[in-house]
Amino acid sequence: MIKSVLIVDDDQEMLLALKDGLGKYHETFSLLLAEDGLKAIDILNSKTISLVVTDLKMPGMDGFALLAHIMESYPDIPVVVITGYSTAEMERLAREGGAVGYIAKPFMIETLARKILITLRKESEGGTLHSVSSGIFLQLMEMEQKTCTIRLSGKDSEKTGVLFFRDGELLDARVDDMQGKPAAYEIFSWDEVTLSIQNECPPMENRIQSDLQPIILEAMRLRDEKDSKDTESSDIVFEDVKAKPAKVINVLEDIKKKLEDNLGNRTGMEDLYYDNKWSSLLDQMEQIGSMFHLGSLKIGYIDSGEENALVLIPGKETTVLKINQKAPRDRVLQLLYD
Amino acid sequence: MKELLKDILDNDGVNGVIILTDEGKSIFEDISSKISMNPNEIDWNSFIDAIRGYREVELMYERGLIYVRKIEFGFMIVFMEIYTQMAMVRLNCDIVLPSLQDLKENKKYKQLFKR
Repeated sequence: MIKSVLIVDDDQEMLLALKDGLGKYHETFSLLLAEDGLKAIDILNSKTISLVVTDLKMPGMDGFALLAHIMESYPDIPVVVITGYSTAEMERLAREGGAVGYIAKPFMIETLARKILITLRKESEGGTLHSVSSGIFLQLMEMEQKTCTIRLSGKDSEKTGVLFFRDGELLDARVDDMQGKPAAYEIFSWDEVTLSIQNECPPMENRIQSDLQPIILEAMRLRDEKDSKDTESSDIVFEDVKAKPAKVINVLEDIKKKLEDNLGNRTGMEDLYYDNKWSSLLDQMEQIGSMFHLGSLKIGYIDSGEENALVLIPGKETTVLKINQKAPRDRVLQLLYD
Repeated sequence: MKELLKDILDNDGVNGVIILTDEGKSIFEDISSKISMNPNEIDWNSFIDAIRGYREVELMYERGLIYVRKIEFGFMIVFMEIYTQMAMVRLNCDIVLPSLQDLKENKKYKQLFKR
């Protein structure tokens, strides 16, 4: 996950010099530039920022006011202060105001780069996970009573969000300028996420005031409601009764075709159908995978020692492929995994 | 025990083996440092409850495999990289199963099975 660093300075030449000098770190962080505090706030409201570097003396909203605003509204975002008017008193005020770094101008760009890299590293000190189910993972955070800040980006969403946990309790969430429950609903509606964990949570009020489970359920309900509205407003109109079976048949037919194309009449397939009664078992397996950092579950195979074994494919609806003992098991699993 | 499971552990891509009793108690663990999670931190009881009744469970994740095999007194769980030759691991499990079943009668391990 490439992180975004916001640099705020009214000195255009300084901004350009920093943009050039820090450009070589583009694989670690991208840069956003603002000429004063008010423009910085606009960016903070619309993007997920990992770190702010700000000058102190600026027209309009100065660096101290910006620092105070960030500490109030975005307490998880670290701020590094750079100033050309450095005094011991300025440094004391900046640090007391919450700045994690203070660098007097002129400085070597490498000095600032080092400070940025060290600070950003903290953001994912607890690890980074790709393609995990946010709901399941976050319930683990609750169960393990974790104190942490989790930054997430959705696989199908360009947005990124932040969740704050203290002792397993979800205190707050943020996506763009949305905070509290609405932001949590948005985040929990993302199917697969990439997330990074910071092992601390800044002091903040509890805007959520609810257990995690009801929040996740409400997020699912809102997403389903939105999906159904999207379907209703689509240009292509399906009759309700026919739309769903048509989709189901296509997915099942795709699997059948893939197996037959590769294995001919040796698929060993006895039956292929949807059955959501396996969902809770798959959820358990997904949890175990998350705990061992294995990513999301793609295929499950279960054999009860009876005539046929089952291959389970997780999804909105669980696909069940029943195969007999003659089926080339490893080949079938590999084909479905691919 | 480690000697007994050596052939499984030596398979290319195998990152560890855990043996659990039917009550979810771990009686053997050999986990590579590639697995960052401490297996002792996991509540195996609910996992065991979920897979009770199955002879074999194979789970394919994005970044790894878990193979679960029923043994007489519990389950053997093998953690693997995604590229591991599963057929070879299963074969080694088949070979080692009879010896594992004798374990319950082994004095050294007998007390582990007492509730």
